[in-house]
Amino acid sequence: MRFHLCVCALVVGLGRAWAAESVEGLPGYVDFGALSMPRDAHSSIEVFLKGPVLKLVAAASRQEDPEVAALIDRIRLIRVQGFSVRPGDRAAVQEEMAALARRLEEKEWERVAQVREEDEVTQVLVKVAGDGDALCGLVVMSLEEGEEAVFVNIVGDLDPEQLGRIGRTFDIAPLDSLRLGRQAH
Amino acid sequence: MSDEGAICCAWAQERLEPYLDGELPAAEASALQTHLHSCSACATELQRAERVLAGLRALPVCACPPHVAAAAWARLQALGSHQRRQRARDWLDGWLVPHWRVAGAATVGLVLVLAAGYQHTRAAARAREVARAQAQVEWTLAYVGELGRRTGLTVREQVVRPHVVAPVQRAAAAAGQRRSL
Repeated sequence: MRFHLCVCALVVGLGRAWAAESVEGLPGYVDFGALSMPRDAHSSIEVFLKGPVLKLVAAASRQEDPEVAALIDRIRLIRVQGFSVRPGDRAAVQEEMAALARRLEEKEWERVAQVREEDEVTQVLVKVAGDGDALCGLVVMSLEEGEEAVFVNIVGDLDPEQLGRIGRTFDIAPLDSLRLGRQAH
Repeated sequence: MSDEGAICCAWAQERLEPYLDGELPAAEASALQTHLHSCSACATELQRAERVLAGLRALPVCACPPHVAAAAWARLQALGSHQRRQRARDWLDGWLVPHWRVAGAATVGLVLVLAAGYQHTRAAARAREVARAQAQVEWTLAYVGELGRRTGLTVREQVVRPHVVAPVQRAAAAAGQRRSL
């Protein structure tokens, strides 16, 4: 009897651990692997941070900025995929972004912003959690004038106002070294 | 050689065999020859010893059977390795046993130092990984914030201002003019 209980506890524990790690099944997750980029587009930014590392980051940030730590604590996944795009491929990338937005809207994502300027296209979509009060997913797609397409997916218990407010406190320029090809080795 | 008769014969007969083997020092061999010239008993004994020695040397030499030689060689080798093992044990017993506490403490200390070094290396690598992840999180939040700011500005400048604020201002101005008329 005790043996069977131990086996059951082990199976449940392993199952919970696996479930905790598997963000791919969460409603706010978007698979950027399905993007069809032009052949000449090469990856310029790759960020893939999941639960355990984000917990460590939150712990590291807690003393410096508790609000940032609290925000990161609620995030399950941060994924950023950036591509360098030739001018001649901009139309194809724009079409791919539009197609992804359509696919997400079919899965009950809501497009909250779409900005189309001369050299810049930005789309922001959110996935509302079941109860309708909070967001469980955020997708930002941007084709910038600097020949770069960036796709961002953030999964978790999100407050967009807090995201934007805290994000504006960070200076992006020094962090630009994260772009691939510009990292110091 | 006091009591010359008896002692000389006893002394001489003790040296007959080494004399026949050619192992007697020259001085003693000369003294023995002098005695043998004058002592028939010792001379007879010498002849008997010579006949025995000749008979022994005339015996055929037997070849050693192969299995006997192999067994002897194996015994010799076993004896050699046994002696080597024994020497090693003696060395260990002589050094390690009295110093086992020191050796044990040194081994434990070495293991602890290596483990601490390994843990330190892992901790340093983990700290670097966390720092890099923190930078990536901040960049992402900054990027999203920047996009949101630009989007808000665009909406304000290109949508709200021309299509909401400006018409309201124009309407308010027109209403004010009509009132003044």
